[in-house]
Amino acid sequence: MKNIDETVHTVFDRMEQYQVHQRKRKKVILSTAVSLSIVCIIGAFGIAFGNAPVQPDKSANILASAPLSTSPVTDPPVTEPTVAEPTENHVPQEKPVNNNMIVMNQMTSLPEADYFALFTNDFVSMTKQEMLEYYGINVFATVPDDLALKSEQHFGIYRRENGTGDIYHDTNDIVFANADSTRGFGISVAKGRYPYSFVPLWESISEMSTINGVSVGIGQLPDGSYYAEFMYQNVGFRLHGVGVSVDELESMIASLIK
Amino acid sequence: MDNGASSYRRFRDDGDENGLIDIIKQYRDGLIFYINSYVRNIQIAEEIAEDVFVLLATKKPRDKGGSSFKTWLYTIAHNLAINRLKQMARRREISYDSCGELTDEEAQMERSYIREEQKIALHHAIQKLKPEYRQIIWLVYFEGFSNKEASLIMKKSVHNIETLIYRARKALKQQLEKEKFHYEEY
Repeated sequence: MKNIDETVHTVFDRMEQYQVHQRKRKKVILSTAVSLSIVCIIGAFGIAFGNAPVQPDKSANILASAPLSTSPVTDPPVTEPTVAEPTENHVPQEKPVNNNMIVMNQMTSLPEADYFALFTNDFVSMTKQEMLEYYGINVFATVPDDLALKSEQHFGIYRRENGTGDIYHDTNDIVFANADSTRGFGISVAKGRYPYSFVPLWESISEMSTINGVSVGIGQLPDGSYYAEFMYQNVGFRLHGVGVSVDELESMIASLIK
Repeated sequence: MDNGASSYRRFRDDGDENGLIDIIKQYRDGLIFYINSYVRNIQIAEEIAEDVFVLLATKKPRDKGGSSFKTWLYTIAHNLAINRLKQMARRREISYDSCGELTDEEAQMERSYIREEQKIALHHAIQKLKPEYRQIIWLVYFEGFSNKEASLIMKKSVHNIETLIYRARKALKQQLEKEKFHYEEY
């Protein structure tokens, strides 16, 4: 039998092992969430350029969480950013007029796509108004005149026990696109955390921008599209803008942060 | 005297590891003996007692406040012991109600924890009783729990506990008489 000191030692050893295990588990969840978030944004944007509606397939037991677009993203014309092309990873651009500061980070690629499962029976549909009430702030950005909210989108949340229990997934993807689907703006939102994750996903955002006093991570992809993520009033946002300029991106983000 | 509640809060809320160490020091031996009244294997009882502390250390559960910290701790021990018994029964690992002799270490621990010779003799005698009798006698006579507290720990009504105590005492008396001990009413 162990003496008291040995028991104390064993208990603390096991506590440490538990904490290490929990950290590893968190890492796995996080890495899945990274892939997931990105696939969602890409998928959401895919809808903007395709015609597939985002609607849970009620005939299926399980729904892939990524929006159900089969259309590939067309190559939109890359709009020249209004800021100078960055030569380094981070190019701070002071904007004295509105006190916003845009720091453009360079992104080489998006992480690999991944999938996860949601039960379609748990889906509770929401109107645009219910969405606004649920999140408590405006999640529909003010977009340039040629962009419009894609009409086929279905918003909602997932509740356990066939839509009557606790909420376990509340990320929504809101997609705006122009008529010929060459320009678009996808927004993923979640309450109390970043969409699909509790922490910022994009590790390569090392310099943050400031828009209306809120810290925003912004990056540009090699195809010229822009990615941004931020938390505002307890709502997490991830955005992807294709064929838009930095000014347009900034004003769309600013319309969400009021 | 809060029976360790403040030590636990110190550990849980402030991260003070000494709080947990104090609880381990205060309760380890008593828990082992109590759990042993279920599993009849001191090594397994020791493992389960350790599991109780590990559960406090990792999950940091909140006591519900309806009973004392000690009652809550023993309730956790009761639950873990029952779980282990079910596992053991499924695996048919051991016959946990077999009555074995005390090992040297167990006897040493018994001397250090129980101290009084009379109570040590009583402890030996209760080893030969039914599991429920062993459990209730340990809780009420050795750990000083009230009938109500024992009912919370063993998840029985107070009336059931009273009946159990009555029967356990009767059985203990017979056992002591069989062993030629002079039996005194507590």
